[in-house]
Amino acid sequence: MIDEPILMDSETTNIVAHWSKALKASDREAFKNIFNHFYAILLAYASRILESRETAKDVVQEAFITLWNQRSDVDPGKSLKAFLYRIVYTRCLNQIRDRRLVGLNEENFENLTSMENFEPDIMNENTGITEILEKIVSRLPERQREALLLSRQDGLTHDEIADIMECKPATVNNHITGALKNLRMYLKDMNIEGYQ
Amino acid sequence: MNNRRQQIPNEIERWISEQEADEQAVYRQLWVETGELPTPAQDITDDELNEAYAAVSSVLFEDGNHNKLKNRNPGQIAGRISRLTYWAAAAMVTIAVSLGYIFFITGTVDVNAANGEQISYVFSDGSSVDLNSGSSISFRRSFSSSERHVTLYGEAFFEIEGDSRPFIVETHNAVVRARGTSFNVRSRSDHAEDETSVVLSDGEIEFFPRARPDNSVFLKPGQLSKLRELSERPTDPEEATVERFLAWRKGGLFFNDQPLELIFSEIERRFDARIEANPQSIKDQRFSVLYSSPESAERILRDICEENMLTMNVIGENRFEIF
Repeated sequence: MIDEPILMDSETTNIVAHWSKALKASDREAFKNIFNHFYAILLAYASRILESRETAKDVVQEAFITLWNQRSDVDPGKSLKAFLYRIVYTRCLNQIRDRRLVGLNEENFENLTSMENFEPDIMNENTGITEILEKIVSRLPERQREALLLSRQDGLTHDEIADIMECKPATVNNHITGALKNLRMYLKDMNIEGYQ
Repeated sequence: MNNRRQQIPNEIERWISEQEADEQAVYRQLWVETGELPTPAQDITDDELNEAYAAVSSVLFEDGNHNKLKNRNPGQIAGRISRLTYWAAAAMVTIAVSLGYIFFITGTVDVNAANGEQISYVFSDGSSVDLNSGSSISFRRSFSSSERHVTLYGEAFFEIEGDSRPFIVETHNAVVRARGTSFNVRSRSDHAEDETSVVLSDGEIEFFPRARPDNSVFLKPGQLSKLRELSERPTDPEEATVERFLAWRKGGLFFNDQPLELIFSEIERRFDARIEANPQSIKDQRFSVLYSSPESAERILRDICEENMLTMNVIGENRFEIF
């Protein structure tokens, strides 16, 4: 008898693979299960990109409609999670483009590999490392930030991230290592203890 | 997320090891710390989830559902009523939240018994489940107000607490609906077998194909019913020796006239073993097995081989070759 449930990735994958198979055969119950299983994490993911929970809701719901309409393209042998993330990712980017936020966005993401725009006043010696990291992660170049967070927050494999970001797994690796290098450089520049 | 992977992927670990010696620890530390960054809230309420699903399913499925359309036709009145209900629900949620109690936190829980182990789990309503080796269940952290719903992959014995909400176990091809009862469900869909079978120890259950809820059978204590692959209806309930179907809970192994392929699969799961049989045709031979407490995979396999004129080699720890 055990007291703690064992949370596992690999067996969940089994169940999801079942659902994928059933989904391909137009099984609505399987679709509902997939929806219930992935809705919350996809909503969190879209919220992270769009910074608006309301828009994120629309995007994720539309993503599930796309999933149903494209169910014949689902490959039960492949990661359904990556398939869903990719639909959401593409839709989020479209959303940003449609709202003509591209310029703003590029500015946000691309020119911030240096510390020039950093506001040191929001931090003092009491600011925890997690808060500091949160701020500097948001200033990483977009692709680096995306790859790093998909890996660290969503727990996706390099292959899954490559699927979502439409690049090679080796490129994912470059983004993540690049991100770590940048973070390390920022922290060093800031003379954070342990990172000098 | 407490199951967030802390382990560094091989590719990253390789990269880190190529860095200067004094940098390596810093990068490992950064890896851990980036995993602890706060995520946008992932917990959502049952109501939010149901509402979101309703929105999606109304776009996708409502056309085919004439009943729903008929109800909707009176138009504004129905619309207003449902909106009222919606606001009432929303208000209740707001009140619950403002009181500081969030009753319906969702999120999926997966409980897994890996090969070589068996585990028990008690649900929030007091119902419990024993999971056989290589089996898992998945369910929403809080059951909904209308039903208690669990998805099963593999074999499990459920003891259900009486409750106004039905307890539903869904497998790859079938559904079991129960109230206060105890029963065993076995659902495997691999090479060896593709069916769900249910044995009831007490109470009453309803058993039906996922795709044909109308084709249900009701089981009485001591009865067994099976649903093969995607057949339209389960077999008629028949009397069965319940103890034998539950033998696995006490570490036993029972198979009556089954192909060796299925028996091998079960031994692999139970003992976390690997069995290679050549030629494949060996696996078609049928055999009966009844062990109340088998000591090892090797012991059972030796018996099976002896009875079936087969040869076995041990090729590693819990790895066997049979020909």
